[in-house]
Amino acid sequence: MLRYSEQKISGWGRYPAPESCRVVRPDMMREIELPEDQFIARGLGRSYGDAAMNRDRYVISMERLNRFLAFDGEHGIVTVEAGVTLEEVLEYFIPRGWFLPVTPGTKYVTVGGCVACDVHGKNHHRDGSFGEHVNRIKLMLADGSIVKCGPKEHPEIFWATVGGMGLTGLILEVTFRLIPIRSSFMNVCYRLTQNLDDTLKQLKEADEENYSVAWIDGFSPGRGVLMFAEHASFESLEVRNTDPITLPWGAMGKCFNPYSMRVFNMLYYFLYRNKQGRQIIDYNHYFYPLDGVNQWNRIYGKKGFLQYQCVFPHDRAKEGIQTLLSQGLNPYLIVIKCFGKGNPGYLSFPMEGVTIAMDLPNQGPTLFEKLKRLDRVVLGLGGRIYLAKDACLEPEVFERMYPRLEEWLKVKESVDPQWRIQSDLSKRLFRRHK
Amino acid sequence: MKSPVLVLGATSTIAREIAYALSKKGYPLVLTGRDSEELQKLSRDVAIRSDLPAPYFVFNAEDVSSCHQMVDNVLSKHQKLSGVVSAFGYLGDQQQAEKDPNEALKIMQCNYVGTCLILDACANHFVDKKEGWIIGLSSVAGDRGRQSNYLYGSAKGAVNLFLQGLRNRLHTHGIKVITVKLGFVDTKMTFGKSGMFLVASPKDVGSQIADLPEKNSDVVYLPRFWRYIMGVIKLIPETLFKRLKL
Repeated sequence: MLRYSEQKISGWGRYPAPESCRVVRPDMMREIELPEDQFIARGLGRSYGDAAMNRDRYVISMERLNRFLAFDGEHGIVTVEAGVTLEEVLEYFIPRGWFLPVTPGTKYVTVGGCVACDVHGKNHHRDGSFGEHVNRIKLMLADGSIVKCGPKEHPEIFWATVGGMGLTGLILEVTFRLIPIRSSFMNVCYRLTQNLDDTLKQLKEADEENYSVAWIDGFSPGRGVLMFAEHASFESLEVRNTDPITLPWGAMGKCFNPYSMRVFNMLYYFLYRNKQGRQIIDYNHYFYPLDGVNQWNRIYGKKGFLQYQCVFPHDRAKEGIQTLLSQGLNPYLIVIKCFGKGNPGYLSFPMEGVTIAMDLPNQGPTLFEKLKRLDRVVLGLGGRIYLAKDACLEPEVFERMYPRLEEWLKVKESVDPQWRIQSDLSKRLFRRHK
Repeated sequence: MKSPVLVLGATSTIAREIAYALSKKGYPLVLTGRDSEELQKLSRDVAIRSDLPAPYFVFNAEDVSSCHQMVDNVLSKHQKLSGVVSAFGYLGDQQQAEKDPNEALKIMQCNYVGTCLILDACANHFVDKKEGWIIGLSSVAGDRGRQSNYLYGSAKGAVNLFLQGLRNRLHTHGIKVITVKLGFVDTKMTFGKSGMFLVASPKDVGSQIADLPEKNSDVVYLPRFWRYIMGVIKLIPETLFKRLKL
């Protein structure tokens, strides 16, 4: 019996507050022993809410299962154990001229986590989400049996696992495709916008841009900075890793408040006013600006924070975003982006439209009342919430946001009829189905 | 290109991190241990990360009679080694070993006998080629015998003395012998155990060990503060220490 360690576990936002979980940490595949009780896998714990925590039950840490298993140097196809991080992939493959097909805003996530959340990046409008670049997943089901699945092999299990929040089984190995690059630098273009209409219009028209995203000022709603990029073509392949500074605990919480953040947002806008136009920056700078500050989630103090991320269909996007911005939520950071078409993943988040992600300090119960109302507004406008960021969605709203839920449930019932794989997220969202 | 480094006991968590760190420095590796399935995976893992072949072979440290033969085999394939890292280790079960001589013997052989025989064989090779280095992983448990793990502790203590003597012998030949005394490292050995504090990450320890051949240390405690902790522990008079329940 693998020894477990009782630890307080939470998500990146530290909301819900850390709960005591039984953590098991196998060092090799052979050591994986499924507990008799409920369990969920965990990577590096970068999901914001309760997707990788399990109060009083088991959490299987996949951190040490981080071996590279195979690499096809001609086609850029790599097979890894699920605990390999994007940082490791970049470290070893950038010098050989390969890059990630899709990357979220941090490289400190595991490949297994990328599949489970079906992460998306600044290139979604052109290249889709992570799951669309996966050839095959090796999954351990709740009864210990192993299944290999892919878009053509047990496709229903594959598309239930992509975006399935780890609830279909333990993701053991992932085979996915890298993209060839000649340079680790990016040609970027920054452009200021004066209002939301302008931002949305320019984002939508930026179809040919490889990567596109917009930051908007939550305190002066509407004005923003568009950030487009593509891989540079001159030959230079360097791995960049800023030595991160680490923020001290909680004390920071007091320094970051609505007043200081209003000033910060204003300064950010003016900083980019001087940077407008094209320039060359390294990939680390463009894709992972926050990775340079270790434990940046500490700026929100002990109460933690929530990240609210949803997507609206194009025709309701402006209305949806304006509603979100008029609630007095004081978001510290807001990012919006256009999504291309969704994929066959039953619970995959991205769908065609505009996504907005906001960092919200946890200012107490009134915040949750507001968010619950907003969830219904989002639903009403045809949108949905990203489960990897979610911490407070209600089951009735969730069920209507994901129209393919019934198909997902059919797969779940077939691979885990006793619902042995559960997380605090699944216990919150699937109350009616256990 | 640099000559390979032989890593003994390569499949442990710490040895794996040492292997990654060494290969990042451009050392090709030769991996050995007793777990053939894991060795094969590690070999491919290292080969993918480093873009250099990382051959492996199975060898059990308890197989004392074939230690010298093993080193001969490695040398006949690779002609020259840059260095050797000995990460053989077996914590064992102290309470079981107190009753079962086989367990006690295993602790002694894996930690002391096998390590020493192999390292002596490697030493002969380095003297021959007039260059090389040897890193032996040991433990703070080897600094003072205590009731909770003295079989493991004494084996590691014996390794420390062996490495000290080897250091003396090889100094005139310009070969470095480095003893690494490890404190608490975040591995299976310490996971979930009470009484652990300031546990070091295997990745940090691995990269610090890989840096050692370029430095001039003889005996290194990792994490470094353990030098002071053990300094204090060693000063406790025996009449007092024997009454403690450490």
